[in-house]
Amino acid sequence: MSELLKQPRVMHKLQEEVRSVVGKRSHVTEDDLGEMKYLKAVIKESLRFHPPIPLIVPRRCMEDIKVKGYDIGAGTQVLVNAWAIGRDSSCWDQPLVFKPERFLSSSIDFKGHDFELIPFGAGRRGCPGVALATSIVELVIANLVHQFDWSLPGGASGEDLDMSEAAGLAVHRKSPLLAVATAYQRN
Amino acid sequence: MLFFTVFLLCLSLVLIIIKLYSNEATTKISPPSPPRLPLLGNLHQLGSFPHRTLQTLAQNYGPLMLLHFGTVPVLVVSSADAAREVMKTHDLVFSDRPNRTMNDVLLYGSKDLASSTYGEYWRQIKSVSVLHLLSTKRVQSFRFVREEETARMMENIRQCCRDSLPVNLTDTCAAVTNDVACRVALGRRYRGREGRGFQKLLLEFGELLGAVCIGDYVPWLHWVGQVSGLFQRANRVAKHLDQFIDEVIEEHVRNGRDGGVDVDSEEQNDFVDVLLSMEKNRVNTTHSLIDRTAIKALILVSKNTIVFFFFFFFFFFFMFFFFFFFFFFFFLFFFFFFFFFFMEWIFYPLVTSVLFCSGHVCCGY
Repeated sequence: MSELLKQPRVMHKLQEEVRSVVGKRSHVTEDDLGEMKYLKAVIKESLRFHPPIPLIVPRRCMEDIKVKGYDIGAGTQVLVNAWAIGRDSSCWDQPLVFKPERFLSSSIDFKGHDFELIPFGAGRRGCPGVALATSIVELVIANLVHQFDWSLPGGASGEDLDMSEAAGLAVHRKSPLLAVATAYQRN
Repeated sequence: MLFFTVFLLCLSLVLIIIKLYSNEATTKISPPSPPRLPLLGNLHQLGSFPHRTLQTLAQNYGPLMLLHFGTVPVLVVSSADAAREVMKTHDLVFSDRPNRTMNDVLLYGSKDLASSTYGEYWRQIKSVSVLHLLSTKRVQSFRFVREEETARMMENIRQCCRDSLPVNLTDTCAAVTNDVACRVALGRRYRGREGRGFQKLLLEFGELLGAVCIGDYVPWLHWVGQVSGLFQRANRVAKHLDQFIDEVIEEHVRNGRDGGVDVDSEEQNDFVDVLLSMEKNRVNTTHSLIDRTAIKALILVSKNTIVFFFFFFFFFFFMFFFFFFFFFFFFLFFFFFFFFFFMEWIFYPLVTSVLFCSGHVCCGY
């Protein structure tokens, strides 16, 4: 939501899509979500740019092994920096720009098969609850942008929004996100 | 003395040569590493946002670099290609989880799916979770919960609109996620008066779970957690959470929902329903999380471990000082003894008087 408030262009495009899919109904249901390609792209882009757990939960090596020509001893811990991979310029075009469009023409997903985008890890130790997590996020975001128009308090523009992170198990906003909602009137 | 010193020097030289030769015989290529401090390794370099620091380090040392957090070697992976090697090509070898004190205290001795070490127990709980708790069918069965909670959230925002108040999106989004999670896992929302304590407990739980215990990386600094009060806090939170989970289970049992449900049905059963019924039907649940006696035992064990470490530390601390002083005086004594032994023909009158005065007469003189 922070990125959507920062970038009115993306917000309008998302609202257009959600409102055209839902039509005259008062709220978004889960059946509608399948048709919302841009919504899915926005969520992927958010997870690329701001993975909630930037250093994936550490793994441990069980035996001596050779990885890419290097010897790794048993007992070595492994930290995968999903945050750095999501911002790696060799995988992504303009990695520091929030641009959901990049996912419209690509099949990259966060389910653990495309290693450019691994907010939930991958393999045996990958997060098994991805489906449960995304189902609620998609529904909430779609309803938020469908039923309301959003702006920042005091008429502040998107560039002023403080995006600093607070450290912890999951990285989150340092200051809470306050926004003014206006109920959307269907014509 | 001179002979002894020369002997020691020769011995260390031989040892160094042997070590050098053995290294040459089995050449190991380690990933590039930034320079490190003797005891802390690279710990001092991490800062508040390790993902940012590690990204900067990786730009200098490459996508696979070896750091040392205290005594623990840590491989940092910072490219998609290297991540594929670790999580796909060698997935099995890298399937273990490191031990963390906080997980042991807060998660019943690391008995949950995320932090449990690789082995038969982990395979069992993983299959239970994937097949019965997080399956597509189960996720779909909670559709009604998600839609109801989202509608409730929208109504709250509408109220803010009417009162012309800004919406705290951070809090409202956290609340809806939390309510859905509670209903899915525990069967109902925990809000209002009874919920407030639980929400606070969950926040503290999250914070403690993310807390780094220095003793995990520098074992001899394990006491820091005890002195800073971190372990006591974690134990308190673990105890309260355990009581809370007990109450939730009791409620399910009282309502007669234990064991009566079909674990594979599409009916909307919460996680506690499913696990209780699996416990009753003994499907795959030899070590299941929901075995309350095991939970109690595990908590007790983990607590005892901490107390044990505490005593262990102080024991070694005092033993260390005791032996240190003991050897120090022992060494001092022998030094003077040999010194006077070889020199007595020169300093004979002095030796006898000194030895007499210092009471060493009984040791041979």
